Amino acid sequence: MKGANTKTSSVAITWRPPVFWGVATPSTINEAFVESLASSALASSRARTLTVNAGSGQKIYYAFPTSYGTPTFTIGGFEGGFEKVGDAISVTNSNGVTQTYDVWASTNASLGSTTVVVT
Amino acid sequence: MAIEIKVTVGNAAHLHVGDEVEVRFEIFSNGQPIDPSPGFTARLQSPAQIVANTATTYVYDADDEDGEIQLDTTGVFLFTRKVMEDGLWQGACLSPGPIGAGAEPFRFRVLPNPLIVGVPDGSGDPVGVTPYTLDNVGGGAEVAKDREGITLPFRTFEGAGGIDVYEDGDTIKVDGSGLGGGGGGDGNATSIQDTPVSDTAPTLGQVLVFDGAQYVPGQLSVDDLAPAFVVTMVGAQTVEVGATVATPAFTASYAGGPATSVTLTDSAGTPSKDVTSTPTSFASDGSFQR
Repeated sequence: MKGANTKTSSVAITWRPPVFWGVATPSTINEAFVESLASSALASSRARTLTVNAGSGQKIYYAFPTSYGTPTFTIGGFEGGFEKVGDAISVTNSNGVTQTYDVWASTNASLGSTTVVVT
Repeated sequence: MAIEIKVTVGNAAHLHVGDEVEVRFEIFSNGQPIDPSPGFTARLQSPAQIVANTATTYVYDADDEDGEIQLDTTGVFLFTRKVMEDGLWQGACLSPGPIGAGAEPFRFRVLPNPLIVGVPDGSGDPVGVTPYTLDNVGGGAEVAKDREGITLPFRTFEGAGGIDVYEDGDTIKVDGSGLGGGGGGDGNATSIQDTPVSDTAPTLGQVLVFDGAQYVPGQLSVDDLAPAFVVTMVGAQTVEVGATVATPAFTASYAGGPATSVTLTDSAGTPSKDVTSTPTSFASDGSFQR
């Protein structure tokens, strides 16, 4: 009999906002644009490696909560090549929670198959 | 018949510590050199004074017999410095040494102190000088015993790393009690890597277990070898902001078999739930949202 020998095991549930990325032809940056990006994931920070294929006239976009700060983009070992194109865009998710997002886009279009490291 | 002995000492006027001096013996009879073969005996009034450059050296009667020196293959020549300005040649001895045919070389090492010699006088007793006799006074390893006329290079025992070496009468003792820790047999390990070890004696089957402050004897249990139990949530544990996680389900496994009492609680204030009757599969009554 174990008597007073008490053990505890815990399970944690974590709520995270999504981040969005993909390629698109430059247009108005708003909630619809953010939510239209092809890829998304629940994330606790902006750090991510994006693998995309930007066709003719397309730029690479990455949107994440404003609270995740200012990113650094690196392509092929070289930093830079991105600029902020949307600032504090309000995005309301399907659960009714609204957060502001910053949207960053590649300076150049038509980059083809590209891997972008975001830190 | 008068017999005289000439001793020639090379470079005698420039002797220094460490120098080697070549000495040649020439034995003359009536002014004519003779050829002393092995066993030859020559007699001479003692002490005979021999002058080598500015040094005055005496030849003593090694046999102490009739004030004469007996020169033969087992005899001894003892040269003792009496006057030497440089004051370096303190004496030397040859024993035994064959007498060559007027040109037999002998080599002396010039020493800073009187040469340590054991001079036999025919009866086996030392003459003129004190022989060094070394007796092993201890019962352990013999470092020197029953030796005479030798030079011993001294060595120093020195302790380090908690070992103390000291002299206790005729005994050199090595004390390792300063090593601390470790040890077996009669030793006493009071700590392991600076963590104290309890002085409580263990009972059969006990091992040392760290209790958060020190190592104590204890009996290992199943809980010590593996987690007592593991709870896994059914479904995603990471959800989107605002999502509601309603009555999540869980499974549980127990290393030592199901517990006698299982209670489910959470940090959101949901009343605790007794799931003892279904300890391996149960669900929360709460709904959670952030």
